Amino acid sequence: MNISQQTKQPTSNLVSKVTRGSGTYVLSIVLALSSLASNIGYCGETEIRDVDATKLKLAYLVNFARYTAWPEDMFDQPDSPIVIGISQYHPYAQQLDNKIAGHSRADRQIIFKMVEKLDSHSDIHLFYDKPPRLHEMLASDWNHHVLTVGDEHDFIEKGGIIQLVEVGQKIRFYINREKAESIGLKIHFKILEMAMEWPGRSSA
Amino acid sequence: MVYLRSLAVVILSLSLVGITLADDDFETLFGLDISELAKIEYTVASSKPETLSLTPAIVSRLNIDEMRAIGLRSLKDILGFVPGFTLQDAKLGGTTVMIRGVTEAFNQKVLFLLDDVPYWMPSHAAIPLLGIPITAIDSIEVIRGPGAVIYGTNATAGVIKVVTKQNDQNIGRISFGDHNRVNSALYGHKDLSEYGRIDISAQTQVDDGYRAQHINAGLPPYPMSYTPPTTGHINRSEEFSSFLMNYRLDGFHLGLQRYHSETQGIAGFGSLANLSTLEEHGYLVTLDNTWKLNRASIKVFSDFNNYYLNLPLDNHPIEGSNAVFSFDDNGKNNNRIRSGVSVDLELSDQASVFSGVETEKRQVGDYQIVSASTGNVMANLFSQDDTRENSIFSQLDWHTDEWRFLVGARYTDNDKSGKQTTPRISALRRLDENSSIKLMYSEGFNSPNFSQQLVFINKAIVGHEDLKAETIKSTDIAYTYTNSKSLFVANVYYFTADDFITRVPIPGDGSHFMNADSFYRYGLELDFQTQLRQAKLFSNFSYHHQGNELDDEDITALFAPNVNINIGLIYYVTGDERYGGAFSYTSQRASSNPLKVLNLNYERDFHDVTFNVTIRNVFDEQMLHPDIQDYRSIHQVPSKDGRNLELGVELKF
Repeated sequence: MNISQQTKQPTSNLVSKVTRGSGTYVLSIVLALSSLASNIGYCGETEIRDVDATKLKLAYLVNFARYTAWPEDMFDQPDSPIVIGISQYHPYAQQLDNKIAGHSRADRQIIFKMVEKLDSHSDIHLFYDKPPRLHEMLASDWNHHVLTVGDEHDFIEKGGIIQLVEVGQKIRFYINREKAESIGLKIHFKILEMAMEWPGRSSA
Repeated sequence: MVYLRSLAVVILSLSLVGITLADDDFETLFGLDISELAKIEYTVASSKPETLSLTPAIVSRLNIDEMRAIGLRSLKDILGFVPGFTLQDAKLGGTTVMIRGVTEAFNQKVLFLLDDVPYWMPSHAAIPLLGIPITAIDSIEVIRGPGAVIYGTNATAGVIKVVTKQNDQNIGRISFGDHNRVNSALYGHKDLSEYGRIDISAQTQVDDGYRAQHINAGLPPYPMSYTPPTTGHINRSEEFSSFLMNYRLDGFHLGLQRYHSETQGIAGFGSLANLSTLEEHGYLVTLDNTWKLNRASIKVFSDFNNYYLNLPLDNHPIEGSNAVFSFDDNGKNNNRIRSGVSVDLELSDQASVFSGVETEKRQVGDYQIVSASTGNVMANLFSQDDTRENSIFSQLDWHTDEWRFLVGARYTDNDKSGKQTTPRISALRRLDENSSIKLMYSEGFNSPNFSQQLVFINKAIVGHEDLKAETIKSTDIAYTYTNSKSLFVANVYYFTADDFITRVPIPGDGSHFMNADSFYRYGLELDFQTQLRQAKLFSNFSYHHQGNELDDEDITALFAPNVNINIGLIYYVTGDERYGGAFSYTSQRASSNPLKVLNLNYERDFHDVTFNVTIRNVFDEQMLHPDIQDYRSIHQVPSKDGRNLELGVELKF
């Protein structure tokens, strides 16, 4: 085909703007700007918005630690902290290492600890990671009395205790209560009643 | 440039009224009780940062609520915000998606997936951009470049995947806009406990339409009692109704979708004497079941898609007055039936193989010109036909802590356009926890559709039965950085197109579908998003080197833009109140001026009720695009209204 027949047209005068009544728009803009002006300077510290799922899951870990009772022999001292272990590869591991995240119902401190090698952290009470390290941990006998949390789709089937799931932009979870109780963990009803039903198992 | 400067001032001003980087939300989050955490919705764009950086493709994922907050309130508006995308209304109705400058009037080069199920019209390859209720959508994922190995035919320019939601809250929404445009939508769900879950949504829109100006349209190639103008206004409305239902029980899924849309334009000979309405009708039934085994997942699927168009138009020469282009039996024979099985097999913790086989039958009925007054068939545009396409694919995914490799291929056997093998190779190097670099090569394969092969409308559009399948071979190099707050992607692309199927305008003889000469293109795309304490910024830039160039071997290059820029901002005044804005810039194409469009949005929540005020096209830009249907460079086609207002309310219950 003859492309040269397709000529570019000068267009600067081709377009004439459509003029319309603009009172409604002006009013809308004034209202919006007024509202903006009345709120300038507000910096809501307590509002939680646009938090990413990764952070939100960490907050769930803190609550699981807060509402779970471990056998006393899992603690060296009466005031020993509950330790949440997270992988060194977790995006917030550096930021959270040794951070005090709150207190349990028994008034123990809850702290995060970055885990580099599994076998060097026998003081961990709750462990959250991804495969293959989590599989390695589940397969070992190191996890006695450890509350394991994962977000693989078949985490509970593989022997984990709490499985986090993303449902409609919210975090939900399944609990294998029988497994928890079999290793001496007592999970508070407040957590159990919020868990989703795991097919074939008792969750609450 | 005055608009760009204005936008910069707006953004700078917002930044001065209290936007500071959120350095640590943990103190607040950790202080919340679990019942409070359960109410928090996380943001999807940053929910899986590791996934984006480790995905061996150029993928964008857009969250529907964030896009609404910046004033983009329809699927089409949102797609226009994707890097490298240009959307415009086609002159005969409907909307055309251009990806990296690659386009076809009915969207034959874009694959549309509704939750992984391909959905397109067998006769013309149209896609249901108005067919998915907006309340049903959770997010939109887009792959730029070929995605043929997994998704098969039509994925030469890119893949659009609509991901539907499974929310806990039901939604009712209604909005009122200029030209008596009323849009209402619903979303509801029912948890059936051990019997599964149902999600239902619906949307409808009525619209009087706006005055849409055509400049330098064609003249009819036959004598008329008067000479129609080549520059003038038509009424352009967009009306539709859509319904979607999903039923899920463990691994079982049943999906039902139905829609009908009407948009106005000019058809046939492309003159203002041939006013038309593009009516699309479609429904989709999909069944699939997934079994999850110890180290494997098996999915068996089957879907049935009936999808056709009617095109009533004025002043057709055969009928002498008004006629309808339509399919016999009300389109009952226009179907795609697809079945197959896929297996995702985990070989080890580092390796998996995803394989599958598919068979698809496509068929169309007689396409006819029917008298609008008597209903008599006046002529056949093409006769009923069918084709079968079988394919088999396999893809190996192997990764270590630092590397990820993907090698795959799809073998396709189409009984009309032949056999093709399309490979895909990707290598991804993880630089650290936050960043990666990717090198990707992929090929896309696209069989011509029935219209492209068979249609004959004298002096308007002529198909050719000997059209070959087109292939696009694309190479991408990308750098991706993600952390919990930010995303940055920079990629360069280079692709070659062979046997590219396109309309070619023939002087005095309308347009013919042809395989074009081989050509190549290259460009750059940047994408940056960041979460601030009280705001979220979205921005992207794309450069297409061959855009707006005259090229004998690549006649479509003139119609592609050199540059697209999109900038969006949500400013959260409080948890219940937010402002948003979206600015887009598209550089000159053919005879059309550069376009700068700004949308502004204000939303306020009162408990479970949200009100919004949206002003679209704040600069009142006259939205004229070049004619990418027939590639007539002097014809400027209207696409969207001037400045217009929408007021809406949404109830969650």
